[in-house]
Amino acid sequence: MIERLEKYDEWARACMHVRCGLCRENCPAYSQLRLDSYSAKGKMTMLFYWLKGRLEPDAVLAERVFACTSCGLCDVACGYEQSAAIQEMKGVLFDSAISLPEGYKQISDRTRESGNPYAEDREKARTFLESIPERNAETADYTLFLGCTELYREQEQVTDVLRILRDADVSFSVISENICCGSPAYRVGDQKQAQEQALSVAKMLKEKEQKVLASCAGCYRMFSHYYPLLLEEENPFPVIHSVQLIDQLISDGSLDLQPLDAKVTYHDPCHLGRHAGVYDEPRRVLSAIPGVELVEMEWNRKFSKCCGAGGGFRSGRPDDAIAVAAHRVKEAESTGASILVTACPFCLRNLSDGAKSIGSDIEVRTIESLIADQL
Amino acid sequence: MSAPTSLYQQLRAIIGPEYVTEELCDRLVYSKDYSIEGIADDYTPDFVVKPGSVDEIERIIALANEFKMPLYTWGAGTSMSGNPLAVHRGIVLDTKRLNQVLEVDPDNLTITVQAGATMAEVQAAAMKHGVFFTHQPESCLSSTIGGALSCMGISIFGAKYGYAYDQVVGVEVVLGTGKRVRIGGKSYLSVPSHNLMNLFLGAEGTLGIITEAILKVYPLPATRDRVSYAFSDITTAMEACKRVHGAGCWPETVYAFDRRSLVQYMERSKTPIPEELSMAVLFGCSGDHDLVEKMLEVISRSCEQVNGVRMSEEVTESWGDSVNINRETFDKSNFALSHTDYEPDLIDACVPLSKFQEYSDFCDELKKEFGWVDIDFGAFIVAGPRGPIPFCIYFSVPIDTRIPREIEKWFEFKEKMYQRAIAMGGSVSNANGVGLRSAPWVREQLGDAWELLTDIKSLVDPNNILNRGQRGFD
Repeated sequence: MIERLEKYDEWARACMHVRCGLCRENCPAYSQLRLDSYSAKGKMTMLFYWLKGRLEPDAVLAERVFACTSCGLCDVACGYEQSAAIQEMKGVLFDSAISLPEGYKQISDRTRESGNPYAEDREKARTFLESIPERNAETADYTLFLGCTELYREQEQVTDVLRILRDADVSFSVISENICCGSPAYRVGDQKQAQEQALSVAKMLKEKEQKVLASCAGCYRMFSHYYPLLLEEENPFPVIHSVQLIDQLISDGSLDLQPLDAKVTYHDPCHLGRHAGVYDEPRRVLSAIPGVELVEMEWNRKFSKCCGAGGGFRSGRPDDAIAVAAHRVKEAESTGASILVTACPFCLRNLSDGAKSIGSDIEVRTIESLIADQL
Repeated sequence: MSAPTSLYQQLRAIIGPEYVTEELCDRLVYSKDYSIEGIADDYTPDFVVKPGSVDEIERIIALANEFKMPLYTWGAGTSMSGNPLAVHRGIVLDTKRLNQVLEVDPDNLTITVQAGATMAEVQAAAMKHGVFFTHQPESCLSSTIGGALSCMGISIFGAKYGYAYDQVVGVEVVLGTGKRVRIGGKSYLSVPSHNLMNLFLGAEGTLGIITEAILKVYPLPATRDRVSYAFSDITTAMEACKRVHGAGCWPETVYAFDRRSLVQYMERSKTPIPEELSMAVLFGCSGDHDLVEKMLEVISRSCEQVNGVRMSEEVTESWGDSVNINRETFDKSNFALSHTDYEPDLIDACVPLSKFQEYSDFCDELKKEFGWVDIDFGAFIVAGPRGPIPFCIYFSVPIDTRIPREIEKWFEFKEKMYQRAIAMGGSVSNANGVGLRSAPWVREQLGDAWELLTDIKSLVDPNNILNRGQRGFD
């Protein structure tokens, strides 16, 4: 199994050569757990000695490696995609007999058993999805794919997305069944389960022969970046994120936005920003609301700090994840903004909890909810 | 419950269990710095501890004394000499939890910080108050103030503002006895008697652990600009630097790289470097716009008087960006990308200015003898506290550390280079730390003063707890 890691041998060696640690201070896991071993540099050291045979993977090593939100800020500092190497380490650890930290493992178990990482009753989602009138539209331009977090934890987000699409007369259909895209399982190293999810979801979406519209940043990244790998297909189906669509709708005049007198700041979700390069569209959308003053946080765009929810971190280390979010909320507060906007349901949940944990007055919203209210 | 008896249990009782580790996967992360030393030998410590206060550090030192256990101070581990490595195992003490900026005082142009604060954090805190902390090495996003004051190191602004040393007006140190001492203060000459502070600066933690520092900050320059020139050889490049000095210019950056070094630094930007280039100098100036403009004009004239050729703006910008790594620009770092196949180590011996060319020629010949011809990282020269006149030439040697014989060859090469430097009237340099790399020549260089140094060490660290086996100490 270790062969899967050998392709990262060069990167591990480069890291051992220089020991620059530029990845460390901005690492959300390190910021909470504080030993150098939790930073990307630490994990690359473990990879180096693992490949050399000096370090046997065990539960302690797994605990360190799994403490990664997959945010990818280390990649920006390094030049090498350390987060990809760490992801593969998670995969190899997952497939070995080593006992994994419980919260992470649970994500995969639940996806396998219930079809979603929250172990929610899928009938609940089906009932909701079947209540959407557009579900059967056969000739629509888009198939709206709703993610598990939206359906089971942030259903208002779905209502907002639907309001925007209807207001702009976008022709869309909805799949009346919830199947997880596989992203959470993939992030905790369960590539097999992620592949199973990808096969089911792709089959369903391909049948529609429509462009896929994802309003969850995690699903979007999964479709655009990981389905080609898991399905071994260059471009399984065309996909667009809802923020990109809203940006188009605003520029072609399909959305008429009411003024909002507010200072807002935007948190780039790692899935959408650093990993997919979608930086300008959300900012254009927010600036298009009359009266909105968009102010940037100190760490923005490709340097954006993580909210702490990704990579299974929220499930594996809930307190730490919320503490990371609280740091980001404080950064947002220091801009003077009254609204912290993001474009990912995981970020929404975690930043909201982070704000609550420090008694912050800042309002945490998604772009979709902000736009829906200004229609 | 009975009192903890083992060292491990007692360390956990002092600092808290989450900040003490004896796990191999943690300890290995603290077994190598940015030198070949940690690959050539195994310096994995027995424990890593990360105290959260100076009180805890005092108690750890007391414990280390009780157990006669060596203690190695660790900042970010970006050092280039092997100085934080646990030569005799024992405890590595990570200082990064002491990372607070305690006070920025723009009226008195000082900033007071804990030793574990990164330089980027210190710079950012200073900037928020409209002042400028000048020590900015390429590793500043990760490396700590304590590390910089202990190991020195170079900085892109050093030509105008000096070494890390030169930024200090006061320090707090915990000695090897466990006693806490404060030396200096906010006024620039808080030296009522002998300058004791210099015992601890650049001492790599062998006499005491620096826990806090009062540092100088400067008014923020309004603008920055830069220019670079290519020269036929080192001597001519140094001549240009002397002319710049004579003309009254005081640039903040004077970096001279040979072609091989420049190519290495273009790994990320992929900027092509002219084939004919031998030695190039990057000059950076700061201040009001008219002054910067005039300085660059005078620098250009000085360079052209010795037939220097102005480099393209693209090269100047890429070069400037590649060495100006901070919180806003860390995506331009070449560290990892340029170090994939080979690990560079450094010859850090200072020879007199007039001997730079001769020493460099010797190095090139020696590299050929050692069979290091196809791959080479070349030489670089940096100006320090002497204004635009450089003080030291460094040679970076790429080693394929996968091959044990190559590692041995590095030590043989290094021996010849240091001996040659001393024979030329040069010296071991403390500019990038001494640690293990330059330690074999320290006693010879110090002569009779070595005994004085060991007497001082015995006084402040009687059980030889601090960084045992480093810098030539037993």
